Amino acid sequence: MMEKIIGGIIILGVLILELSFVSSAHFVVGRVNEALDGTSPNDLEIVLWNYNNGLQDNLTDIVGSAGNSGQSNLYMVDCELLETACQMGDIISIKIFDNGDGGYFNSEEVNVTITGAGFDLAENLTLNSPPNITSIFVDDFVYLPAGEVDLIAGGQKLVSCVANVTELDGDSLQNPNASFFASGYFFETPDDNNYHYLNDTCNVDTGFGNENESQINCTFSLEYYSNPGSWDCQIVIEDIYGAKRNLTTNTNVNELLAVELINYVDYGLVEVNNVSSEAVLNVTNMGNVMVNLSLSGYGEVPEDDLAMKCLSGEIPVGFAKYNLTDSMGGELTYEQFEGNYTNLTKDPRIKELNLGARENDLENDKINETYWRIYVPADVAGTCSGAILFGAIKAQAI
Amino acid sequence: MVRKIILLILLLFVFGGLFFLGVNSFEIDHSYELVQGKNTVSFYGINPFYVEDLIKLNPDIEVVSYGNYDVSVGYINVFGGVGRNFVVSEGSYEIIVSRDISLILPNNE
Repeated sequence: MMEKIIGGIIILGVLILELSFVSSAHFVVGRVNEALDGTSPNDLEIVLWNYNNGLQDNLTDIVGSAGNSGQSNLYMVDCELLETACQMGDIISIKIFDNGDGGYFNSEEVNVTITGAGFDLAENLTLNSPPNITSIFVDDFVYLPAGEVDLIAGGQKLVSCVANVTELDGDSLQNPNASFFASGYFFETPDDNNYHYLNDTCNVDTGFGNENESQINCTFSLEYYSNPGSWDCQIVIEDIYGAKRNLTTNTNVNELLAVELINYVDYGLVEVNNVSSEAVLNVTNMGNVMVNLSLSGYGEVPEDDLAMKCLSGEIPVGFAKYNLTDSMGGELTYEQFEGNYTNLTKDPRIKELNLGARENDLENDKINETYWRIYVPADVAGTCSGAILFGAIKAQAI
Repeated sequence: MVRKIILLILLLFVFGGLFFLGVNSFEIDHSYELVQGKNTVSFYGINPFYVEDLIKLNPDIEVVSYGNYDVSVGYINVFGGVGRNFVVSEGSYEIIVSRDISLILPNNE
């Protein structure tokens, strides 16, 4: 009899041991509504943590039928599985976190206090709608022709990139920024005046449109040596949950052909029947394409076949000569002058200079020296003056 | 004398364990009396059934769950039933009820 009692008690003991494997659970259940733009929260990950213990001790669930709840738009988490199991009175925080897609899938955060009930129902969450950039436009402030940016020789041209944004949740917008970059480059490319400009202080006009609309205005000061061709403007904006959106549009930066020269060439005092000393004339590329030069000259009126008109007498155009590449210092005989310099002509002659567009943002690295001399014939006296006509001609890239 | 001591130790072990676990209801036949709140219930010799069917027969059940350590499977009687409609078979479960009830098991007349 005693053996039977002991046997029964042992069976009971085993039963109790098995009971210890039934964990206590306290479920938090909640609903996640679709975003106002219609995006479903199903299959997104929800995170739950104890407000006081911090996010590092967290549990996750998948919203919808793929998760614990097995029901569309619902989630269900046993908060007793937290490393520090939840207890009555604890505040549990819940939200949907970014799944890595630029903060697209986020939600506000809700808190639920753990009660002594069988489970706790959290307040409904609504999936965040990221800001929606509905339109984007980029141009310089000369609107005709549209879609073209005309640079200013040696100067800066303001280009405006404007986007209209709808934020269905009515959230504030933050971190507006934009990049304007040449084809072949990207939003993240470091700034370089030839091909990339970043503006991270764009203006957000909340007075634009209705209560859910804003306008983002980003301006760029384009340098004259910005590469010609197709350029993209990309505007990026995010809401207070960090949900980002961007939109890109395209325009064309036109070629700018321009050179800068000093106002005059001073040959100094030259004796008759002598060749002047060499005058150096700097030619600076003030555009965005490689240039050659067209050169011609006149004394008083175009095509008068003169280089200079003097107080007494004239200097024929061919007596003014140039060398676009090599300098020859010191005094020259007429023969040396003839042999090393090219005659100025009354008609424009195109001469190869291959002066590229500026590349260095800190200093102009595209300045070429040109070298000039003039021969003064015997029957000339007094002060002389004339004109040298410089034209910029687009050179083919080497 | 030795047997009596062994018996005493076993009884202490069993009832001490019961006290430690805080079990509200514990039945090994097909009569399950549950009290309001958490109940740990062990089913033996029953025909398996879906938890959803159990809740349909016992609408005062709030939650049925089982699991251990890092896994918890539950079914909650809200929004028409939230959670996996798991099969209840022999074993132990936690059942939370909103009031004292006599549990009715499906297919276990």
